[in-house]
Amino acid sequence: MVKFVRQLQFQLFLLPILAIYSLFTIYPLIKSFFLSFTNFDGYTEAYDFIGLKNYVRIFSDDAITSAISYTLFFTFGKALLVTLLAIPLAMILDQKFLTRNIHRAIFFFPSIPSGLLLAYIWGFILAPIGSGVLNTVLRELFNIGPQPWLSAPLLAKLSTIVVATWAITGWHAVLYLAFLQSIPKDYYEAASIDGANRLQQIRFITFPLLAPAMTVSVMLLLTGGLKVFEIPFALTKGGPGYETYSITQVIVLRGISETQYGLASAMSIVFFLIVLAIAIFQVTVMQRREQGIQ
Amino acid sequence: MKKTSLLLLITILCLSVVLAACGKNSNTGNTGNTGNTGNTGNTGNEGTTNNATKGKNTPKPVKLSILAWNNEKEMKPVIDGFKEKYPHISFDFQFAPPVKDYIAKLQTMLLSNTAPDIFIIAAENRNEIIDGGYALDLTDEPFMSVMLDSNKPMLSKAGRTYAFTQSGWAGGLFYNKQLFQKAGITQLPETWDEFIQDCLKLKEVGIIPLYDRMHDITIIHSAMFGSNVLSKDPTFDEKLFKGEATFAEGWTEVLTMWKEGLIDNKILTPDMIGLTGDQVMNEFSLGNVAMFPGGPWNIATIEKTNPDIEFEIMAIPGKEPGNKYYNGAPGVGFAVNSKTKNKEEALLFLEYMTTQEGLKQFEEGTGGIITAHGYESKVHPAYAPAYNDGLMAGKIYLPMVSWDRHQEALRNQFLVSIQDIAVNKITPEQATASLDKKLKEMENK
Amino acid sequence: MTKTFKKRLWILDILMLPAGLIAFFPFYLIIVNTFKTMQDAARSPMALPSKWIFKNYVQVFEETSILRSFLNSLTITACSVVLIVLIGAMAAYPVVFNANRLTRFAMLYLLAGFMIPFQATLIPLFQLMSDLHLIDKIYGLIILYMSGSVFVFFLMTGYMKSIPRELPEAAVIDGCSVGGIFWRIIFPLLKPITITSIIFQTMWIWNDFLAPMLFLNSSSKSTLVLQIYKAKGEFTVDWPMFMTLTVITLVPIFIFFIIMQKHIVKGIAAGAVKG
Repeated sequence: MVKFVRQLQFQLFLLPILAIYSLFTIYPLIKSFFLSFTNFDGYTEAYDFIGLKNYVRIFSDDAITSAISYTLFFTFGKALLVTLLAIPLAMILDQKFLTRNIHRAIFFFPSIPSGLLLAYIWGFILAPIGSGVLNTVLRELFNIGPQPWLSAPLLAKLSTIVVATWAITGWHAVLYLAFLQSIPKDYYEAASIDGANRLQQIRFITFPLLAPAMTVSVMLLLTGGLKVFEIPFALTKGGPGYETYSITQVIVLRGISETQYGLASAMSIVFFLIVLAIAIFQVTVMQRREQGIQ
Repeated sequence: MKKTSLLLLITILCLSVVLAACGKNSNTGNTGNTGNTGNTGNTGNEGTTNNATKGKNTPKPVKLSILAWNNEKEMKPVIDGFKEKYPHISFDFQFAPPVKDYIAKLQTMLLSNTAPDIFIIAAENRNEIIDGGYALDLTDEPFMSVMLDSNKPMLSKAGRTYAFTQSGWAGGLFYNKQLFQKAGITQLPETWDEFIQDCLKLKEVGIIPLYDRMHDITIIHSAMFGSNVLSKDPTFDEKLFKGEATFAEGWTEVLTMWKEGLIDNKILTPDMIGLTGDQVMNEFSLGNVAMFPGGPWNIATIEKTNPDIEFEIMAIPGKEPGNKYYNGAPGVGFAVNSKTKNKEEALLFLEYMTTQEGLKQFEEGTGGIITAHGYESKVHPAYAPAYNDGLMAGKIYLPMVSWDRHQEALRNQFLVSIQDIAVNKITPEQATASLDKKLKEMENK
Repeated sequence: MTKTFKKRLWILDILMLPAGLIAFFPFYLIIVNTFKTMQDAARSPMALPSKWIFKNYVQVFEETSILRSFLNSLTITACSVVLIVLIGAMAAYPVVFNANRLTRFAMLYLLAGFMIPFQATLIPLFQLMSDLHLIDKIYGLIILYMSGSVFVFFLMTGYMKSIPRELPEAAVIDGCSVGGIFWRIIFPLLKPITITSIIFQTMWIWNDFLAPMLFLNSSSKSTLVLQIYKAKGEFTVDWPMFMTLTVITLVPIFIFFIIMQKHIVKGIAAGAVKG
């Protein structure tokens, strides 16, 4: 009985989040699921049930097939790059050097500006003409002619990844930084008494204890990457052709701009299932890794 | 113990928020009231229409809500002028930035019955607003006589008009007179071939002829369609949506001319897709490129950026001489919510916008080009050709307005296709085929 | 030993300088162009102003009701962040310290919603907000933001796993209640991640554009970010105005960050274990 009461008390802590989340996230999702079987246009309340027609149409939509391949490329490219940069950056920002606080702020801040502003600023930097900032630098330093950073298919894809990495690396570094604080100092003291050098300490103390942080960070990178909208939209509007269309951009395009809300809902549902599968797989694998390390 | 104190804290926080919000509400209510008490003296002047309905001497204070993509600063002159005439009416001005954000905001508001009394209809949402019965039929309102007939089709369905617009715009090619002189171009091109020759002349003397971002159905494409197809068959788009014509029939020739003239001669290159609109305008202002497609909204910025520049707008010539067209359309239309509780006051506001005074205030605030009966707009000299030969002569074309249905889907297919043509991924024939396929798919969805 | 240690840190200052400059460069572009005339900005966007002008800032303060918007943003952000962090931290507690089939299910359930892009459920969400009469209410927006606690929940679960399990177990033996353990023992240990969460959420909500644009109508409830977008026209953007407003909006958040990040301090967890 006591055990039961304790259980109940524990579950009470979950109550607020479940209530808010069910209402504002799951309920609209269920409604979208329902709308995905209709030809609702987003305006007229009178709509018909058209069965699975929307779901069939998804697979003949050339925008969405292109968007899936770009979004996956973007997501994994960004996740890899950010993780490789953010962990060392966090360890550096953990040191007590003079300009530490300024650097923390500088690296953290790029995640803030709006897409509109990003497009404007990075438009200057990545301009394909000779007077573009990056093209000027390349010409002065290496005598390389102007490059079409945002209009050649592969370069445009890579440019969006680089800008996204610039924007979010500092953010993840701050996340790792918080987790670094949870590593008790005496671990390092004990290790250095045992004669472990700095590299060994990182290898055998820091990395293993950062494993939970990595699970969280990579999960956020993957889900955030798959949901990406603003950065490619701001930089390339999805072009050239459908080359840098993200899945979310196609959903917005079909649902809001083209008033095919039913079709867009079906896309959201399929997309949701894909992301869910990837996320569950990733969390399970990385949690197993955490346990393996510890 | 701590738990309860925390709960208390949360409750207080929530409450304070609620209270704070309430406080704000009552404030706004108050300002409305004070405005009203100030009015009572004035009512004799203009309140006649309203007095009749209320049967009282003092008109009841009314708050009109209005949603526009012109911001408050731009709308202020009209609203202030109106408030002076009708002091009992105050405004709740709401704003959403153009274009997508505005469309989404209005859409969600309409669906949940929270839409304002007055809103704007644009080319992008006209079908949905009109078909959904969200806008009041204004056709028989006397003030609609001020609206130009050529402005009506965009805001009409089956001969009924649902919004009032007092403005219009036309886009063309801005060219730099000094650079044209340098390349020895003395006369503006009369045919498409001459235009291409002029571009090549500019190229020869080391001047970049033209920048185009190819991010839309471009100004060049629309105008070319006007000068080559519409000039022969003004009803082409009607036929297209009746299923009597195809994109392949109308657009293949235009896209082929565009590709052979501009892409194959490397006048337009795919790397231009990566430019931003501001860069294009900057480069033109600084004299680094001889031409760029633009409209009246660019003029002030060009002059601010380089006061010494000599420039003017020109039309896009067709294959045969004499067929010159601009790209353009009516401005957004002001509509009255069909479910409004303040129908009379809302119509009063629209009526005010059609008066000479209202038109002038709107011109001042927005800096737009006024195209209305009996009003002469002050047009910048560099823009005069587009105003006289394009807007007022009706030689303007914009697919988004002329196409009857599925504009957004077709627009998107179009811009993807021209970018694919620009990078030599597909041919013009494949591009128009994909447009026909898209239209069919949208009709059968 | 200490000497070499210090030397190495000086090297860090020097090594980090170019990296910091590259990361900061886009911000330099934004800030420097708010002090230029349009002509100056077009001719040499990267150089320092040929003549420093402050008219853009003066204009912003004259033409927009920036103070009221600032207060609105402050109210919305402060209330939302406090609630989000509390709810998120609370939810992580049973998932980490009382793991069973039920909490595992709850975790998956919450994970699922994390995948849904906001834009995908826009219309149903708006209808819901309207049915609940939460449109054009500041508290309505705050309640909506509370669903952001799922994100904090994930940060907190990750962090809580690093708290030694002996701690709450010892407390149970001492007769602490389930709630007592959380508020008295666990929650204080979460300080670094709580600060981090506060920073993340503050930044997100302070800068959010879509939700205030959709769910607040009256101009008296406008947030700072909504003011920025008034510089956007149908065909052009008033860039000097846009950038100036952005800078003004970001200054408070910059100060906030500098203050808060100092509190991500090392050694709290270690100290607690010992004590």
